[in-house]
Amino acid sequence: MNLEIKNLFVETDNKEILNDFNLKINEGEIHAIMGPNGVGKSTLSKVLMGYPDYSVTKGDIIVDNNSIKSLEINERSKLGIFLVYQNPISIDGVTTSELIKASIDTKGEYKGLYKYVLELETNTDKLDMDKEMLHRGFNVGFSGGERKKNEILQILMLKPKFIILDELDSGLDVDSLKIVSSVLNDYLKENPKTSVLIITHYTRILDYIKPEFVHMMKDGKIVKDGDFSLAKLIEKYGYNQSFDIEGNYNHE
Amino acid sequence: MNKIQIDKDKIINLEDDEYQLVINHDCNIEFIVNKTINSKVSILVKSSNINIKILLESNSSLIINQLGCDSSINYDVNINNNSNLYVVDSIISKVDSINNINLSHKENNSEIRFYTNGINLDNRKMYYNVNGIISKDISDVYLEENSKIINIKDGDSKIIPNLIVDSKDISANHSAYIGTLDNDILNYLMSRGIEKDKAKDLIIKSILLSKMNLNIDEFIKEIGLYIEGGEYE
Repeated sequence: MNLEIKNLFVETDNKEILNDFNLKINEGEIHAIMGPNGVGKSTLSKVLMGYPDYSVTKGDIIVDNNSIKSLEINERSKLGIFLVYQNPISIDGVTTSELIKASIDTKGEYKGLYKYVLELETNTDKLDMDKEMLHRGFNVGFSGGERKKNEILQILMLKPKFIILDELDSGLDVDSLKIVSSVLNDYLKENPKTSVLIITHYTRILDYIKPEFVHMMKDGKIVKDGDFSLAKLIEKYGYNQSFDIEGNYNHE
Repeated sequence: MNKIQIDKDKIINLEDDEYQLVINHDCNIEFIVNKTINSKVSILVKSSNINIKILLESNSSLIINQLGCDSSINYDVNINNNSNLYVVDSIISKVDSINNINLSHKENNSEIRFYTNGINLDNRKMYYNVNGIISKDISDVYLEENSKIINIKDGDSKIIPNLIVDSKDISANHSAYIGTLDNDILNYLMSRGIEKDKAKDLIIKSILLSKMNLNIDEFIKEIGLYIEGGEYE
C-alpha cells in the first residue's frame, strides 16, 4: 500500500496536534517515527486510523491515489490499514476468536469453521500463546505482553497491507519482543508489499524490525529525516541534541 | 443438567446440579438451597415480570446467571451461615424495567456477590433498587453490589444502591454506573473492520455476558435473536 500524508493539520479540543505534517510511505517500505512524549506520535496513528475525536482542518491522507480523509475507521481497516495499539483494550464477554471471526466476516473472507480454527491455532502456536486464551474474554486478565501478541495474532489472521506499530515494545519482555518481531518479520517476508510505520520513543524495537527510513518528530511535524543512522544518533544524543546536529538529516 | 420451562408459580428445591430455566410468564419462583448443596442455575426470562425468592441454608452455594429480555425481575435473598451466593443479573429492554433487589445476610460467614448489567435500549425506564441488609450481631460476611446501566438512547435510568448495615465486623461495598457505550471499545472494534452497528451489538453482548460463568450458549443465541428483532419486535 502507498500512503501519503500531505500538509496535514489536525486538532482536538481546539488544540492543534499535527501541524503541517508530511510523510510518504511507499509499498513495502518500513518507516519509523521517533519523538519524545507529547509530540503527536500516537495522535498520528489514530488520525491515520480515522478516529472521530481528531479533526483534520487542512491537508489530506492519500492511499493508493485516493483520499481516505472522509472514510470511517472500519472503512480504513477494510482498505488494509491496521493499528497495533499501545494499550490494547479488554472486552469481557467477547472472545478473541469471536472478535477475529467478526473481522474476517466483515471482509467477506471467512472460509468456514474448520479452516478458520486451523489457521487461528497455527498462528497462536507461532506466537507461543496459550490456545485457551482464544476462548476467553478478549484480553481479559492478559498481561501487557499477551495483549501485544493478541494484536499480532490479528495481523496474521486479517493480513493488512499497512501496519502501524504504536510503541510495540511497551509492555513486552525481551523474550516476547523477540517472538513478536520474528513473527512480524516473517509476515513481512511473506507479504513484501506490506508497508509499516513504527512509532516509538526508543530505538530498542528498531533493532528487531529494521526501518529503511527514520523520521524525528517535534511539535506535531517531522523535523528530521534519515536512515537507520538517525535512530542511532537519537539514541546517542537524545532528541534535543540530535535536532541541533547538522548533517544529512535535515527535513526538506 | 435440568432444563425447566416455567409458566406458573413454582418452588424448586435445588440439588447438587446445574439447571437451565426458561420463563416467559409473569410468576413467582422460590429457590431453596438446602444444607451443603451447591447449585448452578441459568435463567432466561422473556417479556415477563417475575419475583425470585432465594433461601440459602447453611454451608450451601448458588451461582445464578440470568438474562432478562423486556422484563422486570425482583430478587429477595436470604442467606445463612457459611453460604455463598453469586448472581449475574443482566437485562436488555425496550420496555420499562423496574427491578428491586433485597439481599439479606441472616447469619455469620456468608458471601453475596450480586452484579447487575442493564441495557436500556429505548427512551424507557430502567431502575435498579439494590438493598444490602446486614443485621446486628452478624459478623464475617462479605457483600458486594455492583450495578451498571448502559443507555443506548435517552432512557430514564436509575440505580439506587443501599447498604443497610448494623454490624461492624463485615465487609461491604457497592458501585453504580450509568453511561453510554464505551467509545474506546467501539473504535477498537471498528479498527478491525467491524461496522458500527455490528460493533455496538458486540459491546451490548459483552456487557450482558460480563461476569457470567456458566454455560450461556442459550443466552448468546437469545441476545442474537433479540438484537436482530424477530419475536421481540
